[in-house]
Amino acid sequence: MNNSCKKLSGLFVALFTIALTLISADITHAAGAGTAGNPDAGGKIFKQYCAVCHSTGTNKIVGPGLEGVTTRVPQPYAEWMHKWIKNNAAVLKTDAYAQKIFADNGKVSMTVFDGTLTDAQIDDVIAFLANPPKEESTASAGANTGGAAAAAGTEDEGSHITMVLLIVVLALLILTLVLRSVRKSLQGAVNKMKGIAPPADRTLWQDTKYWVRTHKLATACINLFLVAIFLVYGWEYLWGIDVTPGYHPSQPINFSHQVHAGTNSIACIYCHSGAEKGKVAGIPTLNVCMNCHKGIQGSNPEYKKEIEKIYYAAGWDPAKGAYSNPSHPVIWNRVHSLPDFAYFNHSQHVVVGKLQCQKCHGPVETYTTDQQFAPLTMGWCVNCHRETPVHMDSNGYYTKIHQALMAKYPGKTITEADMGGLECGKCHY
Amino acid sequence: MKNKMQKMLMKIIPMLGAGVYFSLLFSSCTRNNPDSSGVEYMPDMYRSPSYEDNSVNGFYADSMTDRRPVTGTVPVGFWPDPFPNTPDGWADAKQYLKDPYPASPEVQADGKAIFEIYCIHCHGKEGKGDGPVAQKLPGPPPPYSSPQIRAYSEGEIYQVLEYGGAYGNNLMGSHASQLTVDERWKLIRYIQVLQNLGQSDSTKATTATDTVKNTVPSTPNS
Repeated sequence: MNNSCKKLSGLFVALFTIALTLISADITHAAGAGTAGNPDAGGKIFKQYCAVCHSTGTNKIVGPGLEGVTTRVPQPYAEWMHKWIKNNAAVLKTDAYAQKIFADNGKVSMTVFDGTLTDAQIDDVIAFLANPPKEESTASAGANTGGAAAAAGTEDEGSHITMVLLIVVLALLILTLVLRSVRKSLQGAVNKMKGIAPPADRTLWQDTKYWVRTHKLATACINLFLVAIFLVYGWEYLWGIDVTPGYHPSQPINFSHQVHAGTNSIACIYCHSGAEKGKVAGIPTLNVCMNCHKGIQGSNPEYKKEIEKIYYAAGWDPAKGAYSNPSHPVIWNRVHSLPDFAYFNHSQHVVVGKLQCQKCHGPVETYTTDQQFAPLTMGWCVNCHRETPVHMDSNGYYTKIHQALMAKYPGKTITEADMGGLECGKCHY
Repeated sequence: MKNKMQKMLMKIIPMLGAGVYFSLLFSSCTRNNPDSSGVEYMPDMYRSPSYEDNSVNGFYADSMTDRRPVTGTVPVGFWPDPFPNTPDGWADAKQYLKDPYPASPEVQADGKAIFEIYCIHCHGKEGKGDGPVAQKLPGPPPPYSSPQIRAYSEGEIYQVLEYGGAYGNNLMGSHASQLTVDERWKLIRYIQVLQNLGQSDSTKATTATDTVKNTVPSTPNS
């Protein structure tokens, strides 16, 4: 009895100890994980509030990259980070590590999140940073490259048709020559059987001359046809000299208007801000590219490569988060080019005339490589000046001239031509 | 044997000639090389010796025709930046820099037009930080109506446009090269409308944007 009682109590003590160790292990485990926060919720909060200045990698945006942050800050990290996120200004006053980090990162103060984020939310963010997710960035890559490939496929359909025609013509010529020699040898064989002397061995040229002599009308028709073709093509060719719609030179950076103006619907004027302000719409300077590309580094290797060219040109070091390298100007190939003897002013057309960019530049938001849309000939300019009604309502620029013109041409739509838009000196001076 | 060879050649040469002729004829019609803009007639008339904007210029070491104004000079119509990009400068701007335009519906309508060109793709239609580009950034910009941004005075917003967010250190860069001083002040009047969106009274705020939307200078909304 006594013995069994002892055994029982021993068992009880053993069980108790095991339970205790389990509980304490659980507690230490929890302490190891830092907080009771939810990393998934923390990820969302991080993107909303922190990602503007901090990346989860090693690169600096405004503040340092936060990869492995939980191992660098003073331990226990959860407590320190909580204090820091909540009110970094207070921590900075006393904490040596905080002061060092502040000095290393250009002394830019971080936002105080006391009042913006709750304690539980801060714990979530810390949990997220302690267990960062693996990068998942290739999701959209396939779709994008697929689109580009499809666009490239349709490009040279026209020249394919000409090649096919050329091959057919050549095949027919060869067939004619083969048939001629077959006919000749058959005729020779027949003549031999009949005992007639073989026909004179005439060359192709002699044969042709003979055919021309005996078929004068057909020859005249063929010649007329050839001359007509020559004249039509020649005429069109001469008109096409220096008229280059569809001209789409390759560029040093594969910039796609389709991605920027199409998918991301960035206004044309955002980059070409000169169009509203002066003669030239302008190629944006690299600081305009960097307004977005400081943060957007490319979702797939192909994009990354192109965006790295911007960094190289701007002298931006993404790892340091500073313009610490030498800069290199980008030499773009000009697509739209008016000769110097024709004056054209963008702001006149965009601000005063209230024209859409697409009117002259075509559906640029669908182009992967920029191309010339309009012929940019004088006839094209003049036609538009003749046909397009002038936006005079609520256009402060025209208040006076509007009244004068309404009096002069009652009931008529006023076009640019009515206001002297066809005068030579308007564009050539 | 030699005679036969000659005859063969006599046949092949005109055929080759015809082939070359046709291929030349057709290649001149289709422009296969995208980097060539085609034949130019009298290029002197088109390519004058004067330098075009954004063109290459061998005269300068950095090869750029576009130059910055000479240090210490101010272009006509421009003003030097009143407050420097330092914590003190920003603090002064917060206090002393004031918008010369009144918060009138006309100015706000102008500001809205500017907002829709320069801001909307990141900051979103109502400044909530939900524009199409914001989704591709590492993090979206904070909403204008959030406590931090709402606390920005007009002078501080001006500094952000001039130097970029957080002294030009955060993801928003300087927009000084794109916006004139006038445009910035008009824009700020509209940003203030968005800062107050959904704050005290949501219905009031929506009517505020509606008024701006409908108020074009020509059609006064009386």
